[in-house]
Amino acid sequence: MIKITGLEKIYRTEEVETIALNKLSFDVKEGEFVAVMGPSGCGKSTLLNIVGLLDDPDAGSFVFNGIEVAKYNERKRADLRKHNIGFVFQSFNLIDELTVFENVELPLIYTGVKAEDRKKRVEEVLDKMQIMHRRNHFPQQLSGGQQQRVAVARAVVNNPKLILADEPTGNLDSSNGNEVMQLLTDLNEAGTTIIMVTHSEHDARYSHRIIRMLDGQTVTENILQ
Amino acid sequence: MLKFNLKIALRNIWKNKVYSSVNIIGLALSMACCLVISVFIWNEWQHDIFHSHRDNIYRVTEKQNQAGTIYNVAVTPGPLAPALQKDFPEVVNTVRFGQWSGTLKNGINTFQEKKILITDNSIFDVFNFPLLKGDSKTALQSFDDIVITERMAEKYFGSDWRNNPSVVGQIFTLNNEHIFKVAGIAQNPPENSSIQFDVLLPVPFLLKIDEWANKWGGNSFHTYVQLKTGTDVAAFSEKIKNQLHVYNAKTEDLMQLQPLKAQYLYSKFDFQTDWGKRSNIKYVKIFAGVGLLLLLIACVNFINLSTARSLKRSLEVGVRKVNGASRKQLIFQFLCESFLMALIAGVIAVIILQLLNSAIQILTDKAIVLEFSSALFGAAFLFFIFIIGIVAGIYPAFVLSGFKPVKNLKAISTKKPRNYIQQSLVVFQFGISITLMICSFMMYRQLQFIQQKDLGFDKEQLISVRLNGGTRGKADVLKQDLENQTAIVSVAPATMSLVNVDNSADFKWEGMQASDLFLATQANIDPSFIPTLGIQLMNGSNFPPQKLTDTFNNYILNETAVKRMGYSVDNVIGKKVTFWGGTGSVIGVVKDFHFKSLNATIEPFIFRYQPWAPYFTLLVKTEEGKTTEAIQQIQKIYKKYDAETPIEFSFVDEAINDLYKNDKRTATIIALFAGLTIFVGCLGLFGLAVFAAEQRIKEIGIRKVLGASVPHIVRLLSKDFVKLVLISILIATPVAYYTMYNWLQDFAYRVDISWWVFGLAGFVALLIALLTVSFQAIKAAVANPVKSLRTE
Repeated sequence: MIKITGLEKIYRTEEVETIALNKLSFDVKEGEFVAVMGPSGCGKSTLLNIVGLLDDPDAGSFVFNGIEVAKYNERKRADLRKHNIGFVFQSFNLIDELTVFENVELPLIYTGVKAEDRKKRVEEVLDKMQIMHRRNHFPQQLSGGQQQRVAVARAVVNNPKLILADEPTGNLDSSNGNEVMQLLTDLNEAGTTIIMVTHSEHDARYSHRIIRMLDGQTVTENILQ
Repeated sequence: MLKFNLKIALRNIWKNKVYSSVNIIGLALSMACCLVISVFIWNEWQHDIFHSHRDNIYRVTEKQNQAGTIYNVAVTPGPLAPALQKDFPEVVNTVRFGQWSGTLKNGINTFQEKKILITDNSIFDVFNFPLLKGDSKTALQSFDDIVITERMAEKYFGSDWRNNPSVVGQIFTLNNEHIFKVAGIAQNPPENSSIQFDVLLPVPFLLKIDEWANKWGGNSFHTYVQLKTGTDVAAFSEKIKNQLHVYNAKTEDLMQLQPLKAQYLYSKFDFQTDWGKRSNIKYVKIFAGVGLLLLLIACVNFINLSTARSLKRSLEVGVRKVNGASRKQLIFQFLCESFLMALIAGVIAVIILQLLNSAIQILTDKAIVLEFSSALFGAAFLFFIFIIGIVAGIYPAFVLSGFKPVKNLKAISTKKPRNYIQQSLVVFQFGISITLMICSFMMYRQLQFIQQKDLGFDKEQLISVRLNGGTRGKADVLKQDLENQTAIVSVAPATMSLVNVDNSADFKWEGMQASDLFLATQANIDPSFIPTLGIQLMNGSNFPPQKLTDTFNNYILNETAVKRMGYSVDNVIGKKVTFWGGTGSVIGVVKDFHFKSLNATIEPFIFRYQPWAPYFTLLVKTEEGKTTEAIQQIQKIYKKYDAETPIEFSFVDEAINDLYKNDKRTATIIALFAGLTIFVGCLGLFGLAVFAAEQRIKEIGIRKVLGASVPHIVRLLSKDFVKLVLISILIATPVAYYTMYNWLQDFAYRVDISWWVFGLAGFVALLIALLTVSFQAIKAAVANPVKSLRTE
């Protein structure tokens, strides 16, 4: 599903040049659950942004579903992204002004799904995430675990082929964290490919494979199951 | 999508109350002003558009060369209209208007009427002044026809006049000597008519009583032509340019055409020859400009506050983008917010206008009617909202929607964002406010100067009484009777009241060169005039008392006339002067005095003393503190000589102040706008200060933990804004200087443009800005740093 070869990303400021990704290469097959680990600043988030089509690489190749997308412009990337990729963030990134229902509905609005279908799908996914009873609440009225469940619901409502999770349990206690990890595992078992950036060995163990990174490169790969 | 966006916009407005209030209050105030100005301008432009032939109606006016100077004169000879119609096939019809006033009497009702027009029957064909009663084909054909308006009909015949079948045919007497019968009742001329009248009298009447009215040498009519549709107006204008010379070989005056549509706003004529309802395009331009600036300032607030909030909203933009929002969809979302904000502000603006309607009318001196229920108003209002929504919302929409999601989803840094556009806009806002403030200070100073300037005569305790009806020709006996009254000091008969005197003629003297000829303004007075008005005699003597039978000429000149003759105050006495066909000696010189508004320089003036010629005015000097008593005494004496004609009097100082009515109104409105722009600008500055403090909350926390004091933090947060206001002062200074320099050129006597005015305006602006910003800065500085660091 994903084939990355010789990927480079360099951040430049007036005084400093930081190499975030240094000729990085790796593949992810459809249906895989991959965890990416490594110390702060090793390039994990940069990698996730590029894979998530939020950012473009400076060099290298990125083939997504058989299409080279490294040189895609913002509009093309956005289009590909909204139909194929869901995101889960450490800080949930829910919009405070929107209710639970509206937050989850958002990706469907942007992909032009009709109101009737939107309602049905949002209710389905909220039900699945067991937060239906909170549908009219605003994010600040929910616990961290509930917020992350909403974020996951929003990530999957469009049935994306790929979910990118950036430290999804980073802001949660262990019980809520486990719940979220179980949700991701369930989604993966239902066929969704997942790439998760994490600091937690415990969370990483939910995946099939761990890629460890250092200074913008992969150093080892552990196949768990 | 629209519904969704509007819902979100509403929640955003509700959630960010400071931001929303600042924007909405600023926009509402500016929109209220702009709506008033728009209605004012609309009303101004709507003048005379109700005439169906408006595009083909032109006024024929003259360019006269008098003593080497070209003057624009609105009056033309009586025979001109019929001659033009006869000689030029382009002319379909013509109408003449002469201005009159007089005492009109019907039965027991007697009133002094000022809006009398002498006109042709063709008025009913050329203009849309329909008759409610009577036949427009015949009315005003006969010399004894009179047409009155419905307003007059009600005044003379009571409110039930419509049901009175004998209204047409009723008899009126004018000035107790001319008898007319009602030939028609005309609809009141609409408010937006530049031609206003209460009474119409026929031209044949004037031709009968005044032979000059039908001579080429007399200039007493406004002449209008209705041209054939499709006439090449420029070519026609060129064709008739020299036509006056063809009709009257003695004149070199040229003719020109003024479109009826331009009459209301673009009339500028000399010698007070233009009459009717007039305005000035200058005021339309000033108000439109200032209103637009105010609106821009409110839009700038919106732009600045929206972009200042960008850090807060960038996360939301990031999330939306990550979830598939396109840039177009985001721009649409942000525009929905600005439209909604503009709509709320618009509704508040309308409410403000409803509440302040009467104050606005007093201020603008116009009957400004906001027809809220009309479809036109609705459409204009929505268009207005749309434009404001676009102007205010488009830049923030592009900025916010252009954020890269990767950057937005990262943590907020403590780095202070540099936004040059935002800073430039603040400079722009304050530049305008300070410019307006300097202008209103200067205008106030100039108007103060005018009011306090020594006019060369004593205008206090001076009442001007017009001699109408039976009192005309009895100035001497009235004077005697009045001077015997306890509250009256002295009485001076004259042909004018020293308020905007504009009656001039060629002035000749012995030994002059033909090229030295000049015009002198004149007045016929009696010997009591100079002492009553306190005019200073510099050389020679006042007029000696004369008998009514004496017919010799003596003259008293002002200093300017003497200088223009090439003499000095000391050597001009005894010189022979010819004026209005009479030759006589200069017997005295008076110090220059102002007989026009201070917009004009003092011109040559000549006093004559010809008691056999009629006086039109009595200038009555009253005892201080006895004005009411004096008025009662004047009324009593006036009635003794004419019990029927209503007395007409005015206070000279008030009449002089009225000359500057428009300037004062403009100054008041500019001051009001200056205040509003400062207020709206400060609202924006307050909003920016709130955001600056929010953005830098972590930085402030760290600084405080490291030992920064409250004044230090206040200085840190205020410094940037103060810098911007200082730059605004630098930019506003030359702009205001240039504007005021030009405005002052309209006054022949003016104050200097003092630098302290600029300093004061800058200081006030700085102080207000500092107060606005430091309130927020102090709040941020005294907050507990532990809290801000923890919440971050």
